[in-house]
Amino acid sequence: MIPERFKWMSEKIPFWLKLISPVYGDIVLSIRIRLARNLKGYNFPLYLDEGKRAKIFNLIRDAFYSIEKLKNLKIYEIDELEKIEKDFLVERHLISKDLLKDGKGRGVVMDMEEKISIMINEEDHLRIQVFYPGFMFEEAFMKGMEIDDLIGSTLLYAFHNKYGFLTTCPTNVGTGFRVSSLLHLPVSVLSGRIQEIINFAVSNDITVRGYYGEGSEVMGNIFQFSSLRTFGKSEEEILSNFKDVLYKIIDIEKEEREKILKSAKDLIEDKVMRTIGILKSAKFLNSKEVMEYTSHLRMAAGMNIIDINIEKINEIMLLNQPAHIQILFGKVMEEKERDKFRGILVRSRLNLS
Amino acid sequence: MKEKMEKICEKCKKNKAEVKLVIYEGGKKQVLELCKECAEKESIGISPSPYPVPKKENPVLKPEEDLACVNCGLKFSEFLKITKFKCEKCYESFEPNISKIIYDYHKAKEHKGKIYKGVYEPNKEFRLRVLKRALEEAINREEFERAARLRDLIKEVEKGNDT
Ligand SMILES: [Zn+2]
Ligand SMILES: [Zn+2]
Repeated sequence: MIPERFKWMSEKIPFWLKLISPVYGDIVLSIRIRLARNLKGYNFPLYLDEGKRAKIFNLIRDAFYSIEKLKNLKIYEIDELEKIEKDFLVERHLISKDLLKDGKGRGVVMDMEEKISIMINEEDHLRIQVFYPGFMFEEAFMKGMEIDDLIGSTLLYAFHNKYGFLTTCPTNVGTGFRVSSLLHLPVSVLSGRIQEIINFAVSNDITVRGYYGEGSEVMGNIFQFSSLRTFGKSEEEILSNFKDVLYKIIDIEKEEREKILKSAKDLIEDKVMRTIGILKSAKFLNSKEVMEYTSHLRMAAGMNIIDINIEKINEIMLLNQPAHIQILFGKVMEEKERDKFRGILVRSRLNLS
Repeated sequence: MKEKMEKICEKCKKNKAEVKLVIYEGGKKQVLELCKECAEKESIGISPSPYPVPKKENPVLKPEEDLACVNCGLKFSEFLKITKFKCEKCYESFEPNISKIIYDYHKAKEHKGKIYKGVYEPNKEFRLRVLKRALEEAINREEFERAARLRDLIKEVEKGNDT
């Protein structure tokens, strides 16, 4: 029923969720850089029929095979994948949902470690993405630049002296470069300083996204920060502006963690012990709950209140998603059944029983 | 308990909205109300979303004359509806309007950054600059592990190896 193709992937934690950079691993979940590129002489993908898209897909695939350093990457045409596999890749953030609309002539290129994902014929002919953990911005940046150099020296890009790299949407023109990061900010949310953080980020050309459930608590206390402008600043400036803002946010969260450890450690301990109680005994867990509970555990682990490996918690946050649960257990499931297996997953990974 | 007016999910327009996705961008706040399923799909998740926030403003300009792209034939009025170009020549075909649209969004007039001339120039210097600044940062913040990693990277780049 469920193809085996991505089972190996579902059983391992991707590189970007590892704790390579332990200084900030408790706050910075992962980072991503992205480059949007188009080939010279072809209309942009949005307006291509599947025949023309297929032609470009083949052209790009052949180019990859001809580049020594990139020829071992895996290339999939979206159309050859099952629905559950597509959802799985979306949950893994290797592809966007936009790539799924009519998958003929669209594709994804990736490496085994999941550091690299290149979408073919999404909004632009090429969307080069690099994923790294923690604060490894320079490593990610260098990798992205290297891939871009390799592809751009094999295929011809659409480039303009005044506008830089030409993209389907004018919001991406110029460098085509965006950098983004997921931050876990539970204590800034608790203490109310999150609004200050958001205002500061937005006033520095950074976009912030967060999910709120009922009430005002952000789900999982996870926020996505991304650089806004792509034009008129160099990649280097965009990156360093972003890092500077992130440092400030990290410092605020750290400051708040220290304060709360002094003033209300028992409150945090209570929150965490209750969480563990629920996770131990709940028969069904939906993904929203899991995000909230894992957030408590992550916070407490980051503050050395409990001894749980943060990497383990990251893993649960990833595996908890619907397509992941189904691929991992090798079985198509309805929502209620997923909730049951989600419970099994959480208990076994956290060694609770 | 008091029953509130049920909101419908803005993505699937079918289920009850239970989750709010709040986006702060360029000083503006935007709220999307989603059902559990769509929120799951949008991924509350764990890696940075691969997709930048979609832009919903525009059109900025009224076309005085409805230009057409010399290459692909896209009309300027069509472009304004979804603000997506059809080909690389659209940029020049729709001038001077495009300069203004791009300026309004990015607050800049000229590309600054990587230059491409059909092939990339070797850019060792540029890479070293980025790495050395980061190394300084790491030392200032006493991130010694990171500093050590960056030092190794600098050595690799100086040797001419890629990462
Ligand atoms: Zn929905
Ligand atoms: Zn055109």
